[in-house]
Amino acid sequence: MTQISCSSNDSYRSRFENLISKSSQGQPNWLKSLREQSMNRFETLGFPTERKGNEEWKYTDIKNIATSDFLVPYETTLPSSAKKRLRQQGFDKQDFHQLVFLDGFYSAELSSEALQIKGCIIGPLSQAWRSHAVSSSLGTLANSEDHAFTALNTAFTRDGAFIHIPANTKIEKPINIIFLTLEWQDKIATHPRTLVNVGKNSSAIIVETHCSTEETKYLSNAVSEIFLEDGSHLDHYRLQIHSKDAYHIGTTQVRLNQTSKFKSVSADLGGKLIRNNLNIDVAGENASCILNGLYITNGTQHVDNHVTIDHSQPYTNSREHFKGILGDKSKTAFQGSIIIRANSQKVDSHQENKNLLLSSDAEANTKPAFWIYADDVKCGHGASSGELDKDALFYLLSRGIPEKEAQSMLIKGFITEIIESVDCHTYKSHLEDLVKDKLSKMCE
Amino acid sequence: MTTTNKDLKAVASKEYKYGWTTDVESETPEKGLNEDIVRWISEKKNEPAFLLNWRLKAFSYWKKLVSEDKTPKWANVKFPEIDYQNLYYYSAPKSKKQLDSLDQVDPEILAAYEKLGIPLEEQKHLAGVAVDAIFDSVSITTTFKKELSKHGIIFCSFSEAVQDHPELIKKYLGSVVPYTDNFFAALNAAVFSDGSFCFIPKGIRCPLELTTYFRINAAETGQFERTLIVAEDNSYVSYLEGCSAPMRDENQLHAAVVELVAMENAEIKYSTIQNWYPGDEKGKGGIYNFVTKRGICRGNNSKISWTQVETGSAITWKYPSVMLIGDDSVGEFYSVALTKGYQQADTGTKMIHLGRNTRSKIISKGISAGHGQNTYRGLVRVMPKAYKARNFTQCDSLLIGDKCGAHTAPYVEVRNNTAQLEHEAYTSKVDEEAMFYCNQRGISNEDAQSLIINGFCKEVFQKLPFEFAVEANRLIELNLEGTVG
Amino acid sequence: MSLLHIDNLHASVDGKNILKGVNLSIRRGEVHAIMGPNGSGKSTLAYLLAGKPGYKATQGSVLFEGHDLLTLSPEKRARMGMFLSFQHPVEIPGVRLDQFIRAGFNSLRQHRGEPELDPLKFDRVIKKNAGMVGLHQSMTKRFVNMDFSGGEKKKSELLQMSIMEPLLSILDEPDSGLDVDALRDVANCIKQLHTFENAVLLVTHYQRILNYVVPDQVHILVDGRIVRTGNKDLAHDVEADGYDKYE
Repeated sequence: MTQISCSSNDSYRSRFENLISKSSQGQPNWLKSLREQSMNRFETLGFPTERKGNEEWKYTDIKNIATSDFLVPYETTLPSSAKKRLRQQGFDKQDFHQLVFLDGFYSAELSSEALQIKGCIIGPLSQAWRSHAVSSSLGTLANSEDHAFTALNTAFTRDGAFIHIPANTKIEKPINIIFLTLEWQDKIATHPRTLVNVGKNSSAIIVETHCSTEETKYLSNAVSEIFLEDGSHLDHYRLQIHSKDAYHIGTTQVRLNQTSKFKSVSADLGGKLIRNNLNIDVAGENASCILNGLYITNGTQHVDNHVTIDHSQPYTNSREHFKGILGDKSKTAFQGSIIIRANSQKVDSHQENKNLLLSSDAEANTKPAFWIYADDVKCGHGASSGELDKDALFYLLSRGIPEKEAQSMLIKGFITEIIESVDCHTYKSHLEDLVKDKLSKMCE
Repeated sequence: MTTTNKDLKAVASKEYKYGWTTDVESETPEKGLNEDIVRWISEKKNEPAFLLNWRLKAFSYWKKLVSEDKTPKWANVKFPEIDYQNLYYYSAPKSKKQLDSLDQVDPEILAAYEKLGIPLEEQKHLAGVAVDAIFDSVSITTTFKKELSKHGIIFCSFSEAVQDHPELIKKYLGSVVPYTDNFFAALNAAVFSDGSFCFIPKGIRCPLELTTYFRINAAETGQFERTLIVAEDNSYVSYLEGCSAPMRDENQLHAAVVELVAMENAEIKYSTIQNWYPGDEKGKGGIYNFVTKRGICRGNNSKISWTQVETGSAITWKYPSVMLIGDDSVGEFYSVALTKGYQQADTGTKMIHLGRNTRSKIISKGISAGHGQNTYRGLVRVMPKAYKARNFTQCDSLLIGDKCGAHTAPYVEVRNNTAQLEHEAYTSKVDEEAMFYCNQRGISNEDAQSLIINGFCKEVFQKLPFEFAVEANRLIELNLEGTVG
Repeated sequence: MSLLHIDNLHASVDGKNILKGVNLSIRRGEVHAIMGPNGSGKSTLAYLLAGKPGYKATQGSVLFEGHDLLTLSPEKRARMGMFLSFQHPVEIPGVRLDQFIRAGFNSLRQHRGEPELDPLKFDRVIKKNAGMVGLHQSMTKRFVNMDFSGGEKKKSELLQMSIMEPLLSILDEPDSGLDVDALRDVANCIKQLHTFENAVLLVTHYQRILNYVVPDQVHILVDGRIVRTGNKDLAHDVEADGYDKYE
């Protein structure tokens, strides 16, 4: 793909040099050279602003990101607004094992104390740079070679969550990783990085929240790498409630080994321009994944979910279900690719994207695709778009339900199945509240 | 079933049955493409100035694309770069003068069409079908012309239309597919040699099936024909094209353009049975079929329906589309695409909804066997003013053998919330339960497979004119002979 | 000589042993019923006899008119006169029922050295037989079993049986999912198609169809073995006591 490198590349380079000179002390050499390589790669790739003939970025224009000058913060403070925001969030350290990052920096004060399980690490990546588990896997899943934003993250990342679960361990308490952006005078960019390894036959639930204290303009460019060893099980709930002026590029890269199970439920409620890349390598026999997602957009929000499932092994299966509710002049895209490699027989895969358009100015784009190179497979996809079901509405009205209420029941009902797929009660009720809030704003 | 199979064996071996060449002297300019060749073609055809100018503009646009390296590369097909300077751009069987009747056609050519099963002598011809035969670059003859002209219907070669109805050509040429549309449309506009023209006047229901038969004969020759069909208010026409080519080791380029215009209440049914030479079993040779086909439902309540059975060509790359401008207009696309050997197909449709209450339906059936790669790519776009637009899409793929590929890439773009769109797609191999059910009723594997595949394609075949539905069915059976595992 | 002779038949599906030594002999003119609880191996036996891929005999033998049945392809078995009425008849989109039956019927005739029946003559045959099995003739113009009700599917199977005129009909739960009237129709039809020349092997979970089609022998299949053989009264005992006491 041709990608025009933009003028601000120079400023990225100088910021990068600055960052290295100021803050790379104590970081191991492998990390320094990985950063350097990634920076070089980013300069070669440039931002993917060219969209004609560029299927990857067909529906999302990131010109505003490419031409903006984002500051890189070197440190941050802990304002009271952060605590307040976390309280508002309703997240309680009692219910979760919490890791909080402010502007991409770990906040020990806001985070839970370390978990006392042998061999288990749930903490900041910055304290584990020298760990073999990090040096041997960071950057091996997330591809900086072809993806400018991943390269940028690798070059600039300051911190993020490092979760390492040894074999045969069940983490009972859900882990909540919170990336909170504070108020700054200038636009800032954060590049949080997360590395997760779930050991053999182990299981965990991770909630990943992206939010801000104020309605400011910033770029959040997050990358997560998740490894699931044989027989492991991970639920990953991603919640994006950024400021209404925020840009967010979120890349989640997952590898599934034999008989492992991965479930992802993503919710995009905030942000101005959102692009999520969710890439799953189903790389072990009998591995399976469920990828669900919801997005609710209004104003001029733009949300693009780009999901790729690569079945490279037989007897694997995947279920993918994304649903969107669009209001005002918002625009969404769902691009789902499912690849079934040669000899990956007996794959069973289904993908579905449904959009509900509440406004005549909204735009929903859907591109579910299958690339199948094996013959003994069962694959299907469905897509639909439209307004509220008139028959259903009439049915409710005929039962005496007021129109407004009937509408909101149907709208909420449209995404209930996605919310219901969350298996963590505390997070589910939190998500329900947020969805209700957003919908009530949209239906006013 | 057994009857059909016996027929099949008598008819042909598994090889391409239309692969012979005809020995006729032809008139060809030198290889390569430059402005002189464009002028030469235009002069040869005694074209009016407007057409020459249009060709030249198209040519300079195409040259610009080439210089900017803008050859399209997004399709899911692989082929070595085409050397556009190593092709002949025009080939016409030599004849001394204007033909007045069939008797003057080179008997070799008549025999060639006879061999293809398309006798051009009217009395012998299938009742109810008028044929325009295109041999390499030029139209050889059009049958039933007089009969049709009684109704005011014009059905003739493009060249004749340029001479006899320049005002219609000037009005409609490029109005649906402008030469700036894409790389191959620009190339075609510069060098197109002939094609069919069809004009159905107001209120007329064309009493015959109109058919154009395309035959590539000459070697190293690109074929660039252009078809233009205009259906005025309240008219109806059903049109079918068929194609074949000799077996040659090098790849041959076929870059045609088809434009359809349907005015108020008019209906155009356009069917294609495409059986260009697909290359040998190792993937050598075969036609590159890079075609731009588009229709405009300009008038309210008009309808355009594309039906295609694509079994031939080394590479098929085309998306017959409908622009639904008129309110309540309807676009349909029914397709069976089969790839076997090393064939590749990236085909589908575009339905662009602009008017109110516009409706579209897409039924696509892909069959992949051998090392064939089959991609459905389709776009449904609903523009802001297309209130209550409706689309239903069903695209299914069948896989035969584990070396082939079946791919689905639909694009759904909705900018009006009153629109309702539904898309469904399934991919699987031939149902084992159904195979066993057939076996249990005494039906052999081979017959069972062709029965099931025929059923899979039924919805599309039913849309073809009757005579051709039978032909299409046979083509599929012939092509899949010997593929049962 | 027996039409069908099963000797110590063991069979497995997906590596799991289902049949564990079945012995059974059926002669022309007889009606046999095999009864058993769910999972006892009834359908496995039916599928195995018809040659369904994936169903493997691991031991024992099956002779059909003296020929070793187990080595033959399913279509060969069908042409020799073995018919399986499916418990869940398969739907085949795009293929008309009458065309489907004609394809099978003509392959049978070809096997017997008889000329094929042209579509017109065949149409008369199918019309007559559809009337006999109580299937509306318009159903034969529909796609095979597509959108057929439960009863219509069973009748579609019987229509096929009536035209194929098999020597041995294996009917896998022809009574499942039918109401009382439909059950009687189906049963009457089976009786009508049964002659001294052919045989019927009726696989069922319930006794009720045996009130109409009276079997010469009833076999109780439990856990892959025939644990009891008797006359029609055995079916009543099972109905009254359940299968538990045979387990």
